[in-house]
Amino acid sequence: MDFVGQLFCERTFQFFILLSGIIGWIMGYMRQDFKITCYFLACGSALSAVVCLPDWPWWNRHPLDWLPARNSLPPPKKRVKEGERKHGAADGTAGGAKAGAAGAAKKGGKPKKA
Amino acid sequence: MHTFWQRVNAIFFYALSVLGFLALLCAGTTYFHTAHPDVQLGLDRASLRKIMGAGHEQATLRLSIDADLSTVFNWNVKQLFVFITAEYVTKQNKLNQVVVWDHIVTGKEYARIHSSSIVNKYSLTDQGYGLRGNDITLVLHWNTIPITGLLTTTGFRQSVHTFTLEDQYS
Repeated sequence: MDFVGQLFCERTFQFFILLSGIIGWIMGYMRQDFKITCYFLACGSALSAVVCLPDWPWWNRHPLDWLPARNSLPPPKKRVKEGERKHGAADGTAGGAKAGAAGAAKKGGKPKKA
Repeated sequence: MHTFWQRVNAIFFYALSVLGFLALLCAGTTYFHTAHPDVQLGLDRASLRKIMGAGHEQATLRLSIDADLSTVFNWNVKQLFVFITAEYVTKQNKLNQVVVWDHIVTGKEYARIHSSSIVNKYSLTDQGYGLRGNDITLVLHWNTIPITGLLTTTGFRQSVHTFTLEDQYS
């Protein structure tokens, strides 16, 4: 639900509940039974719950305009890991994984070779 | 409002606030409500006896009642608690009020109370010996139990029944 959707959603359920309450109160006064008012209000609340509770598509029609992402390099930690993975895969054999792991341990936190 | 549970909270408490406001308005409309109850009380038989050793005397009453309280009901009345008091004056007290009978009216359709022989539920007992030969007045009262608002008590003094208890024990 976007920000404009949140505003509309709040106004919508307030309108439904208040309208059903007022109609229910007038009906209850005419029939001299306060139970009618309660039923009307409960129905209005249920209707507004169906309309406003789930994240329906009509509450998402004003998406935010995000700034475009800056074209920066990924952080160095990630680059080291990528290099290791490449190294292990380059060995190709069953023993290669072990060798790769050993190589990684030996290298420690050193930056990428070559 | 940006999560499901926040919306549940907002809708529920908004509806609750509206209900409270409407209930207040409902109580306001009944403030000007006027009732026209029709009450006839009577006494069929009364007998008096002295409780030996206890230091007081006690009367047994057989009452008749014909009351139509349906106009007391409106949309803010849940039920009525109806009771009859016996009121009398003694040397000790300016006013003695003893509840001798009560009844709960749960709806407008039950608001017609008609009975010719009610025996008092609660005994009419004096603190001393003030009942013999005394004038007793029977008054119908009711508590109006509302849906919202104040619980009020009405003593219907437009139609009461006064009688004199006999001057001897039976």
